[in-house]
Amino acid sequence: MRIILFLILAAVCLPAWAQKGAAKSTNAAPTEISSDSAVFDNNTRRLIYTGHVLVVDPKVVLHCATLTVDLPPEGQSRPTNIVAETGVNIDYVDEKGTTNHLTANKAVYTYHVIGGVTNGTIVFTGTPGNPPKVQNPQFSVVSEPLVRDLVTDKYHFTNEIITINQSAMNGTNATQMNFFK
Amino acid sequence: MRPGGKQFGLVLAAMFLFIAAGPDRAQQMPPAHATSFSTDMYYEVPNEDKVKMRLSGSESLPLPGGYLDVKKMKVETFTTNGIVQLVAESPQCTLRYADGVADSPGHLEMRSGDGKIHVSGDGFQFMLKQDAMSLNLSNHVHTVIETDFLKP
Repeated sequence: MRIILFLILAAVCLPAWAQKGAAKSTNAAPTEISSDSAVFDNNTRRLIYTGHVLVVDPKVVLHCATLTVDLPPEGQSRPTNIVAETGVNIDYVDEKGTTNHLTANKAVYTYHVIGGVTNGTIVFTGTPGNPPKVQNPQFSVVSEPLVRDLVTDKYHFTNEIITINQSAMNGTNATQMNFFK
Repeated sequence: MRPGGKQFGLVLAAMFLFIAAGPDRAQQMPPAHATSFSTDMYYEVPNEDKVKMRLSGSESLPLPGGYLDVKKMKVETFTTNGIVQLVAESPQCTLRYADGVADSPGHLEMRSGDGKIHVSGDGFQFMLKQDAMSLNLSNHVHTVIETDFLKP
């Protein structure tokens, strides 16, 4: 897997899951999830939302058909696993205020601390011929999979295809193009 | 309802132990109208003295088929050290004791013990068995999660 450092700093700041800056806010609105139905298993501490799932965060709106949330163990405040499936559509505002749109068939958030080592990622995958895609007014990136490392705060792409919107880039400072090198 | 299963004001626990015991140890249905009841389900050995789940209501009425019409249902679950895991409340439900199920087409509110998660919905089925405790919300599910919950 090819790692592209500092890629799309202005754009691919994915969901609130990955926004460290936002985590410092204490007055932000809560995250809300709506769906047609849901099942909660107290033994496994798993919540499964199905049907027109909508997640609304101060900076993120997510649509999908099924959302599975593994609630955190006792004494912890962070879920260990979240999976959004089927028709995953995410609109989010990055740190520069740019609206980005991401599509995927599946998004898997995992977070674990084992032996003092923290591991956290969001892995976006698509379907054959329809890989995950993130786009904003300046460009779009297609990658299968598209991975966000929450610990290093970097993105990992595989066989990515980057498309630049030339008209949107007109007048853009050249330094913003350096991520292609 | 306060924790400490043996200190209820109006205790009808003995009549409702079918909830705690499960269908295989179901006891007699209360023969008449009952008010302010509560019953506890305990953990299995070696935590058999620790309350796992508490079901309470302000009123119950017998229904045909051996069911109970429960008003102001409240379900609480606890960890083995007594910390509240979740609290679920509904204005009304039907308790099918033989199946270990409480259900209703009405509204239900559930919150986590730490208050970080709040779930509501219309139409629910609560499975209240020792080895299978689950909640199925069938319509208009809405969850509010404390913001930091989803952020690193």
